[in-house]
Amino acid sequence: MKKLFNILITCYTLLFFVCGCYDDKGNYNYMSENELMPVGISAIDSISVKTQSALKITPKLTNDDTSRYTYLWYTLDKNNPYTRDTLSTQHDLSINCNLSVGNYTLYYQVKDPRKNIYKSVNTPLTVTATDINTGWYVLKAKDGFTDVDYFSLSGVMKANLLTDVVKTEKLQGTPVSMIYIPSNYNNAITNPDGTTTILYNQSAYHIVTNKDMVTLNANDLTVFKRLNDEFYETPSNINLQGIQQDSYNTQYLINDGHLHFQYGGQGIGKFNYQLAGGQKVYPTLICGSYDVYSYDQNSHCIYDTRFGDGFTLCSDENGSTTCFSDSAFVMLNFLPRVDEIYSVKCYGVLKNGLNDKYYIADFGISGQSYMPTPTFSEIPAASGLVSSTVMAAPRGASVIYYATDNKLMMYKVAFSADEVLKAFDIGEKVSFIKNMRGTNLDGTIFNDLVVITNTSDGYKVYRFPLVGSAGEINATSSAFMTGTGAANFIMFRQN
Amino acid sequence: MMMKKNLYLLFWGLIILTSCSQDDPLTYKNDPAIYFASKDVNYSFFYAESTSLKADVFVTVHAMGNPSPSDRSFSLIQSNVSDADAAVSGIHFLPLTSQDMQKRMVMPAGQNELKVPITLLKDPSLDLKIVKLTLKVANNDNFKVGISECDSTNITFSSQAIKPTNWKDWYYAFGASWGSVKMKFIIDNTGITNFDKIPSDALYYLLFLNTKLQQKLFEYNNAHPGAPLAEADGTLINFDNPYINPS
Repeated sequence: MKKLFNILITCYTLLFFVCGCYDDKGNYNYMSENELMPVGISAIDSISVKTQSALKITPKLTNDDTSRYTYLWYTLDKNNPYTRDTLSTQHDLSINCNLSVGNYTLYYQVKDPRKNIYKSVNTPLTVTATDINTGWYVLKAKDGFTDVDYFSLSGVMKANLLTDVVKTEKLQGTPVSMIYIPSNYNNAITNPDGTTTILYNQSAYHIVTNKDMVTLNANDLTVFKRLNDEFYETPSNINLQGIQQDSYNTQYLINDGHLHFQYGGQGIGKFNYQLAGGQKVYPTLICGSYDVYSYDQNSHCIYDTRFGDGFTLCSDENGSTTCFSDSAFVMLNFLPRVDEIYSVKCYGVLKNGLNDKYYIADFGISGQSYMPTPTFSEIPAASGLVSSTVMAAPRGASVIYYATDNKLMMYKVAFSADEVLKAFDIGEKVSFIKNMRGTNLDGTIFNDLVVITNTSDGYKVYRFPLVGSAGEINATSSAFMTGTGAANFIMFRQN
Repeated sequence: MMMKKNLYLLFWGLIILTSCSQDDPLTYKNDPAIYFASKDVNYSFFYAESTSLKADVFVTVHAMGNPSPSDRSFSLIQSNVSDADAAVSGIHFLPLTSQDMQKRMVMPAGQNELKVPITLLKDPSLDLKIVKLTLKVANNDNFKVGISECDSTNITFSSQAIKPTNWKDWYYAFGASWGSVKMKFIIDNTGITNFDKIPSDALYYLLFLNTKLQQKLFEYNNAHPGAPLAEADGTLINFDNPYINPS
């Protein structure tokens, strides 16, 4: 009996081995995605639209076949992702947008109903209570206060937003900077019964002058906060110098050389106490995707200051800290160039206190706080760069743009040479230069050098397209925005 | 057999009848007595907002029995006189035999509960130690000792900081370490004197406090080169950033 049992067990085991070696010749075939559903959908740019206004989108499709596919446009509410709202089942979207003011994700789906498969793309959709959204925001000083002029992508101007549209108390002081926070801004409001409600995931603007600040709801231009509500504890000495944000919407505010921050999407939208330490932070920060770098004007060192974790000294490949004070250098201007995912590149315009010569430090920072030793090149004494206070570096070329009175100049770092790019009219003084990129109303991409000049009559904004990769510009454009007051900052809001 | 059955019925009938007899209601018949009806007290002059050299803390005395139409004095004594950490009468607290205290130890007519103020004195010795006053109720002509488990209560007091019982709730603001110098530094720089309860939804407020205290400590240590802020035993004060980024 036992022998019979062993024979049966052996047979079963052999059967498994034999089956394992069987070559499966099933009648199925693998098909590529494009073979199965050849249609292609181009990405759709993010969209801002005023509620109860027309929303039209013509998607770009390849290998489209209207007889074969069905189409669907729908939204998901970012604050309530389970709420799906179908907008249209047409090929193109053309509706009157009756969505409530808020932030959504818009989906476009192309489906083959016979195979029950589909492809889709999505994009952020912001529905606002105002038609002041995508476009250009010019900060200007006028009559002793700061205000904002808005220019839509189509060129429609709305002057003096704070005074005439927001109608908030006048913003004291001269313009410093402005940022748009597309989402992840929180704001706490006190209800009549004394309880607190926190509004999460809001869109907002921070508008900063040297003496004052206001935060607006970007969707309806109501006031979220004035200066005294911006901090857990308002600094005793207000001398606001700059504001920036990183890719996590963490916002960094520099007041009197001290760095204050608030996390995007967390807390109640208030700035923390100054980051601990004796640093005197330079007003411009270098914001990479993962790290934020600051230059300390006391120690002449560069620190990693991401997320407000504290000041972490950057060090070189040997583990030694790289501080410009080692060579008696004093930083005159700290210019961001390239911000990539893991690294940033910057120029520093420095003066050597020992020999009164000027230098450019070309350096990059990568891997959080790793900063290779910079390369230095001397700036000829005759160059106007050493005395200029308005300058900027483009993302691509190894040049520095700067201004001397009414002239827009370019300093070629590799050749230590200057070039006049544009001579404005006499009396037109350059106050702002920046390389800005974005998408025009017609969908074309721009990569411009944006320059603001001021005269006694008002300001002018020029957009000079960059030509080639050497930093040259097409300087023939005339001013495309003008207004009253003295402007010194412009922000472009794509969405 | 029948006889036996009848006896059973008679027996159970008697049981039922006796169980239905009316009993007199229970009434309190003992002599009047008192006991403490409050918890032990911890007090530190360290957290006091006033600079007064004395402070009143309260113990509640409850009288058993019916309220009296007239005032009735009662007696409290110190029962831990011989202990090493005992508070000293007249130095650390107003003597229980003093005229002021005797006036306070009177149950008013018509009442059976009284909050008795015990006056603590801020003697300099309290800067260096924590003392304890154990109060015990005692028999007198009006009251006997009531519930024996509640016949005494402790008052522990000092001029030193006393670690809040919910210290861990403040972790993101103050870190884990605790000491009296650190506590004073926190109070001086944040203005917080009541640590009983943290604000609701307060993580980012606690982080703000932490950042502020780190900066204030940095400023203090810079202003005192070679003498950084430390506890009496030399332990350096820190507010090491305990923060773990929640994002």
